[in-house]
Amino acid sequence: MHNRLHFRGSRGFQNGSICAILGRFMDSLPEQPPVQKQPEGNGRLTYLFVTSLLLFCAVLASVLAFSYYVLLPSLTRVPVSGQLMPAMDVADYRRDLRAELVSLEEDRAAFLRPQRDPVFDALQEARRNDVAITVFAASFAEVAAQVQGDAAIEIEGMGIANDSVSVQGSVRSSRPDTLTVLATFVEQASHIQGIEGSNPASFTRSQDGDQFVSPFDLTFRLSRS
Amino acid sequence: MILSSTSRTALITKSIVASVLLGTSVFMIRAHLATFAMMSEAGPIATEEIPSLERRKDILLRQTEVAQLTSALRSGTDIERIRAYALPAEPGVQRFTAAFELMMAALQQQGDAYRSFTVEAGERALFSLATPEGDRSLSRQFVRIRATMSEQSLHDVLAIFSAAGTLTLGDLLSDAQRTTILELSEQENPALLPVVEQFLATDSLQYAQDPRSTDAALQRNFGDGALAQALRDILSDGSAGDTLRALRSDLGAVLHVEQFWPLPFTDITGVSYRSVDVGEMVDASIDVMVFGRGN
Repeated sequence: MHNRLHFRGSRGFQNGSICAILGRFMDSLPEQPPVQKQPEGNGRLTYLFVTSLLLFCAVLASVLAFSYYVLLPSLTRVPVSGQLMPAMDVADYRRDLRAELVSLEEDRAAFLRPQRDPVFDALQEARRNDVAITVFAASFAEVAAQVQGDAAIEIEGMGIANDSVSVQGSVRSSRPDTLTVLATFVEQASHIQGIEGSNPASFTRSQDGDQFVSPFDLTFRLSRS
Repeated sequence: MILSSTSRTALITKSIVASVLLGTSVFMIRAHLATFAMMSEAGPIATEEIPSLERRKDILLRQTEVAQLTSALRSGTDIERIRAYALPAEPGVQRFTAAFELMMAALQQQGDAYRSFTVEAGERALFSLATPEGDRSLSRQFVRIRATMSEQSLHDVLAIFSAAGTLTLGDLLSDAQRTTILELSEQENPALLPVVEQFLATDSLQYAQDPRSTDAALQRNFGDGALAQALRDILSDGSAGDTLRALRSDLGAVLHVEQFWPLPFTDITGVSYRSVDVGEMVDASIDVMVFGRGN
């Protein structure tokens, strides 16, 4: 809605009078910008409600912010190492302290490392992760001792490559149970730490005098982790 | 409801601002509740946890300073020995072969190895190794050894090869073992860290051949406490124990006398052995990679 401001009574004055001049001047002015009309009825109620809500929220948020950033830190202080610290900062301080300790531990361990040559250290680290055949030899001997019972598992040879370890030997027994003992050995050996599983193998049983013999040549896959 | 488009826009804007402020208020109320909850936790943290963490920080700061100082004094000599013997410019295949020859001679004298053995050396090859300071180009050379020796001798030879290139007792320890020792030293007597450091910096072959003076110093400072016991356990079990046992044997003695320690850095890439009919001997084949610093 356009409201145009009229100089009251300008039309009744003659040309040349002050009022007429002012009237003409006012008429020559551009139209005034539209004035927003206040809503009426339910619209007005909604408008008032939203405005009140806005004011309430603004005051509430301001009070809470003031309380959180100014009042709480001064009212909830606890003594830490002889100084007062806001309670909300204590957990952060503890976290920072722990992180600092981890960093100091790393520094101390780094200084205590026997060498400070990065190439040498990296090579040594890589070698530590390699699989040691001596460890496997002991583990296979342990498994053999556990499962052999009255039979005798003899490990005659071992080989280790990048991703597999091979074991050669034979099972000897006075009873015809060498294949059962061998199968148990393979099953148990597959659970040795660092071994992922065994490759398929064929087993045979033959007789050597009064002894039953099952030679074996097994290959176990090494786990990559 | 009669609302002009301008009034509607103003109403919507005010509603949005009010919602944002309401959300902020809810967030602030939750922050207040969290602070009140924190009040009950902050007491024990401030009186119990933080003082102990701060004490530990002081100890660690002092220990780190001492470790830094002694490390700076020692690392120069270690680096020289590494560059000269353990990781020279070219893979030290000649030095490695000469050391193995000496070891085989010692085994033959005891009847633990046959006289003949073969050493085959492959071509030198370059490769890239990732280090904390970026990728570095190194050289390596493949060597295959075939020999007949007793099973125990094979075990000792492998233990020595697996520690080839290392200099000190500390080199034989894993990171976890080193951490255990440091933690125990911190609990027992933080001021004695230099003693631990000196112990770990002891030459491993020298210690294996004659541990008395080093062990006496450890006993004098730590008695029979948990740290001294842990060090003894670590150095008698596992791979460190295997290496020290092997270095304590005649193989270690010959390397000590002929000054072949540290050996060139090697990595065992394959091993196979098979029992032979005579005695407890095994036909062994050992594949190793000998490393050099060369570009």
